[in-house]
Amino acid sequence: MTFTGEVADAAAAHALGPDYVRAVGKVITSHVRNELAGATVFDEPAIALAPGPREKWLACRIAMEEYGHHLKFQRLASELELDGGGGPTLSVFDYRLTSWADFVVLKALVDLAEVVLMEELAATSYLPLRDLVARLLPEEHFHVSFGMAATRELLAGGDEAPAAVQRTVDDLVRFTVPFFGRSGSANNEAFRYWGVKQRTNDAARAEWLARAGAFVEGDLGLCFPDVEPQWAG
Amino acid sequence: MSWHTVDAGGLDLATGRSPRPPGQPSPAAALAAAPVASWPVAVVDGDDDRRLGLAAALGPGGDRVEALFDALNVGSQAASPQIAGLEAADVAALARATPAGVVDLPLAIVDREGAVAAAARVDPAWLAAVDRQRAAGRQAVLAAGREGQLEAALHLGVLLATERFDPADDTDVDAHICSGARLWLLTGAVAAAMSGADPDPFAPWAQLVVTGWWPVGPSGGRLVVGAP
Repeated sequence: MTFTGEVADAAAAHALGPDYVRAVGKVITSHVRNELAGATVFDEPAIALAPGPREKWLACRIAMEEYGHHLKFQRLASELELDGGGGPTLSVFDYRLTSWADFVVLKALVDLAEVVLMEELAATSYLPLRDLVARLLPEEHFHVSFGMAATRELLAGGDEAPAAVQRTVDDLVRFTVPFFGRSGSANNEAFRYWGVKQRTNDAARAEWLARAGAFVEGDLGLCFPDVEPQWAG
Repeated sequence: MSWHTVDAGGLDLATGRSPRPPGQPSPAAALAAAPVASWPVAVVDGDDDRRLGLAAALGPGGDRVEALFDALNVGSQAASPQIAGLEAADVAALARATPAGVVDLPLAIVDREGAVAAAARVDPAWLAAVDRQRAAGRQAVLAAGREGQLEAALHLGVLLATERFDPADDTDVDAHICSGARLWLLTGAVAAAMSGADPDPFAPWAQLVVTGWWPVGPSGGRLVVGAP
């Protein structure tokens, strides 16, 4: 038996019990940390890496949107009386951003991973979280479409561009695979039990691999690394 | 001490409830921890009910930041730039006083499409000078040991302006460029105000930005300003 109800607010979450609060809280605080890490590690530095004023200001808007996402998840955490500040960030934030090209490929691939996770939360049992992701997803979709469009433009930039983009793709895919968590995760089991999520980590990873692979191979004409949807950690 | 950022009704912006412990150790930390913004804001110490307005919470230059955010709030509510208090002559005078110094080129007020097109050809030397002014304001505040107050002011400015400059269409690239440029200028204006620079190099353009204009800069032999 799994929980199939809907939880209207923080008071209802607490009434359901600490296990529910713990499950939904882990998902929310993970977003609190990782949205901030994304804005700090990737988006803000990209403003200085931008090749021209239009790109600079676009990056500025994107950085502030991602920072805003962090704050909106923080507000949800506060309502649940959770501290969202502690805990580790995802390993993808260990990726070292060194160029504008890195940034746009990252937006296309890593933000797509974020979209895959957020789309699943559009059906989560915790209604404040469901409402929040419905508001944030259009912005996340924009970040991905910007990254994809800018990556296509990169490829048109010279004979060396495909090889450079391919290297970035290879690196970023490797860094992003752990983004979805371990196969057989006890946390994910609890998320699914409580209706916070619906899929296993491997199923979410497989969807990202399919969508990212379609972009890299079908759209860009490059090679997508051979990656298994399982990840043991 | 247990500081909380509160809205006009006295509710904690972090929780939507009356402030209760634990709070933050300083007014600036409370402002920087607010996950949402409303206007006006204040900070209260939950231990002794002490209340500070934004200017006092931010310290030197805080009054200029408060005035800037107040104008941002008024400007975003105005139905037209004229209602926000700017006439054509004001726009022309303010536009020439760019953050990198006076630019005496023919003024071109254009629509957003024209502004985005002009943005691609902005004088790179002038843009680099604006970048240096942005950095100088920030460095001056940091050198004074006021990083916490600066981050609080920027945090609040980003919260207020990101929503007020929100592109109406989430797929519109030009709208995102326009919004990002205005956010870039506004955050530069916040740091300059906090630094106490006199004259404040960002103040004239900040007035344009908070009333809906997008001063783009020298581009193609013209000084380009995007109309609201």
